Amino acid sequence: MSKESEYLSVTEVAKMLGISIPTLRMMRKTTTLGKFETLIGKRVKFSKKAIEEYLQGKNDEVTSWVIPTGQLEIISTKDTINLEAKKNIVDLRGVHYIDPYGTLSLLVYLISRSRESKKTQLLINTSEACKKLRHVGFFNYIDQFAPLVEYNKKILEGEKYFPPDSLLSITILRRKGEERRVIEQLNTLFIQQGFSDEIGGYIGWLIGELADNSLTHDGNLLKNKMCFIQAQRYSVGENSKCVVIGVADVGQGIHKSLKQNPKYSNLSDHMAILNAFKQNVSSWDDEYKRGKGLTDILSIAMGNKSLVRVSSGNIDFKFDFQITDKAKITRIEPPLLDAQSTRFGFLYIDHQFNKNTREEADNFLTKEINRYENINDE
Amino acid sequence: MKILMMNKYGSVLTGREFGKDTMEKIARNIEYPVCLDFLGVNSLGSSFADEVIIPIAKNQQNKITVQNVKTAVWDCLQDVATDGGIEIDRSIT
Repeated sequence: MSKESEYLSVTEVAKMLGISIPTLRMMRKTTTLGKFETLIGKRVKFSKKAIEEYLQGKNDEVTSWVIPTGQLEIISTKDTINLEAKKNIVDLRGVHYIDPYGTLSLLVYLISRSRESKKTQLLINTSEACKKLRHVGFFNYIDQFAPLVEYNKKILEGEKYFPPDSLLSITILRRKGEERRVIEQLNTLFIQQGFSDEIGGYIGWLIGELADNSLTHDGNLLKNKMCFIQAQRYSVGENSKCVVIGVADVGQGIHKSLKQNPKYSNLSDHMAILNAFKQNVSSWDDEYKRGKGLTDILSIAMGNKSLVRVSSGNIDFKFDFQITDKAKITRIEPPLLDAQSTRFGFLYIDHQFNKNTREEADNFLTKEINRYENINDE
Repeated sequence: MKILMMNKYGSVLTGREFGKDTMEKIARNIEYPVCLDFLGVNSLGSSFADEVIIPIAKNQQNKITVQNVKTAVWDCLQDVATDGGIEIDRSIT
């Protein structure tokens, strides 16, 4: 074999892995891929044999987790988790760390694609992130609800792994009321794992509202309704005992649901999502006096000085209440994934706090919505 | 005043439909005025509370008395009471 045929160019490797060249550049720095490269003349080349083995999941090393430091964050953004999703390939091999918001976003994205009769190739390896996905039941749900997703099941066979931040694996709700069993289970886990007495009360409240919303507004037939919940511990430093809760469905999305109410049908999609958090704003007619659940969630997050991520379709927002006088809503662009569904991430800090009122949450939203309208006008 | 033990319906009281079902059960035997005892109730959702607290309050001069409430449950009750224009009293036990 000639020396030249033993090596692959950057373009060839990117093509083989089904990723873009910028992503390959990032993966060379953050994964074991960087070890397969060598300089031939002035060009970077990769060992063909090593890349072929990598594709089969044989020679990738365990990537140590990148535990975020500094400010608390729901970290599943495209940049931070290194997720490559394009056309019909989703590459998880460069993923370092994934939280429940990211995990459930990915799950409902793949289920939605499968429901739309779109095939997806899922590229995995034996990294801690992939093993963690297996541990929390991600692949079981893929097998069950996303038949058009293909991945190499042998790669993770026999891998034993218990993620250190494990709390509640992915749990599916198909009917209203099933969330109560999950909340009871979580409350028990909180006690067992040394959280305060109060945490279960607030988390139960917010899961109750989100699950009720999902299963009420998702727009699917009863047999197709599904809402997923996952929770994990999240520790940063000695004084920050936190929980990240993910809730996601495979429904029509908040904006589509709200715009069914003629009163809100002219709102842009992103304004519909923001307005849905306001008190008494609902897809239901005013006479039903609905539209409080999402306001309650914000009022808890405001008091808790924490974070909420909400994504609907291809719109992704972060509500950051960590610094009281700098509380703000940021649109995350590009969104982690574009899926017809609603995805929530809630970071709850286990400390004593005073919940804000609905009125305070409403005032905050009014201010932020005005700010967004002004940005758009400009 | 009669005491209504809410933990008869579970330690997690969430969901609008479950609230409606629960209120139907409560309505069969309730004797007003009543004090709602939340001993053993860990989580309360505002949708559930909307369906239970407001109808009970309407039958006792828009007032509700509660006891043994945890902080999160109390916060939820206060939100629902404010929104429904009812007076809420937390009895010390």
